Amino acid sequence: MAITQAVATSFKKQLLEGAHDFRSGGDTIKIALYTSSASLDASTTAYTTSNETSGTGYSAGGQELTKVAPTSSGTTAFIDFADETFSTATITARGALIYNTTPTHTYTNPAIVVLDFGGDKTSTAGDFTIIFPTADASSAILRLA
Amino acid sequence: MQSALLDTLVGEAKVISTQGRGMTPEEIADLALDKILHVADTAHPALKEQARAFKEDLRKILVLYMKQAIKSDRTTLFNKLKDAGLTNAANIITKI
Repeated sequence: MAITQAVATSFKKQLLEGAHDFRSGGDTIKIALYTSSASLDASTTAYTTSNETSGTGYSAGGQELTKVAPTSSGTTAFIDFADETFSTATITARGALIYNTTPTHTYTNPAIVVLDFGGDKTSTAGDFTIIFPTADASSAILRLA
Repeated sequence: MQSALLDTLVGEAKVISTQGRGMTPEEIADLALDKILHVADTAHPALKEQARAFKEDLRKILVLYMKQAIKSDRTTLFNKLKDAGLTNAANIITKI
């Protein structure tokens, strides 16, 4: 069991099918948290409840992310999200899955990106905040180069 | 013949968490500043220094207004609780 940070391979294919809309008012993108017992990597195709984090302040499926419209710099296009906080939460997570709950076509909750936090992260009756990297061509959370 | 390669890359997200409290205005201001202002490592030293000074000024303003927002929200909460007959709970809000 392991969580390996990666862009889902199925997402790459779906990009070519026009299945995802990251524009403002586009698809609903969510982030779900997982324990270290989860198996998530590039082969993950969709959101799963298996080994999803549970606890006070966290509901299955996670929370919706606030999208920042796609942009580009040089030859690289990228997207960004606002930092996301699970408030008054007593939870532990080792990683996360960003997925699309309203894709075009017939996909159900298709995976986008797997995040590895590098270790268990815990909040106790506090805030659990995921901070996305600087939105530029060299650091943004999801880049096409 | 050459082929065109489209590379998909994923950035490094971080997690910060608190125990038994929420984040302070100072902590949230730092998160906001990281979104508002980013200076490249390759920027000229003089430009970096100017940006650092601007960031510090901005930080003070953000913290000040966040504290005002918290106070204002507590005033709203106080009145909601008082109107609901929860006077003791309302009074606790004023002492936080």
